[in-house]
Amino acid sequence: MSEEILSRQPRRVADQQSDALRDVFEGSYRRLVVQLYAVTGDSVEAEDLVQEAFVRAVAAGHRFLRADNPEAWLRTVAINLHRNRWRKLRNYSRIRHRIEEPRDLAGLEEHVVVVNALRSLPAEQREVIALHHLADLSVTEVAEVLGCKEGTVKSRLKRGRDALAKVLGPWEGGSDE
Amino acid sequence: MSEQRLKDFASEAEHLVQAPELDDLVGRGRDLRRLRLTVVAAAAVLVTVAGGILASVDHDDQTGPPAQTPDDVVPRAGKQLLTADEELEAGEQRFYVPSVFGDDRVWLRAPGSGWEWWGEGAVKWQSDDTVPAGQAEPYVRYTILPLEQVMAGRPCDPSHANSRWKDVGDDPTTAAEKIGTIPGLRLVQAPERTERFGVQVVHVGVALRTPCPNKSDRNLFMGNGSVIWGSPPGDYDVWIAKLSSGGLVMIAADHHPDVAKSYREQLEALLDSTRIDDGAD
Repeated sequence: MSEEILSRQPRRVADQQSDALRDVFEGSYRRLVVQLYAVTGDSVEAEDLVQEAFVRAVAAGHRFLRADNPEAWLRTVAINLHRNRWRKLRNYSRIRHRIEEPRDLAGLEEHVVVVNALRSLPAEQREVIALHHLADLSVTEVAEVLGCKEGTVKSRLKRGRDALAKVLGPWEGGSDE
Repeated sequence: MSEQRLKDFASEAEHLVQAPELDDLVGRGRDLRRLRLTVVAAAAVLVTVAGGILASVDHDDQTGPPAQTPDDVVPRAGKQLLTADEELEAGEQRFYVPSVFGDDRVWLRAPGSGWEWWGEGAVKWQSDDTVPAGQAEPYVRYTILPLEQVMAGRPCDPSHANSRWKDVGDDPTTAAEKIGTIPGLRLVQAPERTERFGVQVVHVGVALRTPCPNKSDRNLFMGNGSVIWGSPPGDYDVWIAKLSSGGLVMIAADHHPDVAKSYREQLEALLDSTRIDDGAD
């Protein structure tokens, strides 16, 4: 079989899926980890969640690759995993001893004040700040991801911003949308 | 200012993230997909077998297939399901508990939804985030642990660094007696030899009613590198078996005294489904 004929062979579907997944991975993995880092306050937990989201994407096969926005699909899965874990860990910690200090990305010392400011927020406020200001989701989109009302998102955003402003300085933008 | 600092943080952090090998994630994803398919297939086998047994009974045929044993239908890869964050799937699946027991294996079956695997067992809470702070949330809990030590003193130390522990040894009766002496526990049913989970066990019943002065939970058991706490009030049934590997395994069921009957029934069903597959056979 000549090279010319080979080049005209339809590429295997599996190869195409693999390429598509690699594109998403290379384009979104790091960004998602940072967003989840802001949500969780723990870089290792963030990496774990995003990797688990990719694992589930592979397991989902076509359902993932046909998603309109694969990065949004992964983000939602990672957020849900985190919320599920966090809720369970809260219960779980009452019956089993466990001590874990939040972990930071190596080399991020210059921004540790930002990370610590995020960590000081209640989890609900941290989620909306991360999704709105780092993932650039609209209030409507944040509400959809978190399964709550837009008004709830707005009020959490306001409280979160007010708290962050005391540490990081005032906010420039005024609109939530 | 705040917004810009957030953006700067995100930009810098993105450069510092180390991406893993995608192939590893793809491999795990394929394993997960296979596992799901296997579990579905196993459930289908069970349905088929159940249908076959029913059909044979209808025809008064006493020569039907032999009773199923866990080994006949359980996917071996099941142990991957039991990380600390899994919710046990309801239904006929059985699970392979992590191999902390050497050649011994333990099988169990989730009796319904909402059972959260927390590392050394499963817990189900009656309400979710609705109980006011400071009030105990009704629960049922299942614990399975290679039992090594029980609490001997200072049970309210949250870090357990200053707590005192004593070894349980390798005799189930002695270990059960030591459980009855744990500070804060009241002996309700004296140690008694019986058979459960497919093996000989020693059962002991205790009650936890004494809260800690600092409102922390009470350290009770230790094994497999884990400290098992108790949240009063709780009623405990504890069974201890000696495994072929020589160690002791503790299976405990505890619940809030006010938890709904249906929750206690599920806890009992979880216990009933438990089978210790002793490697000696």
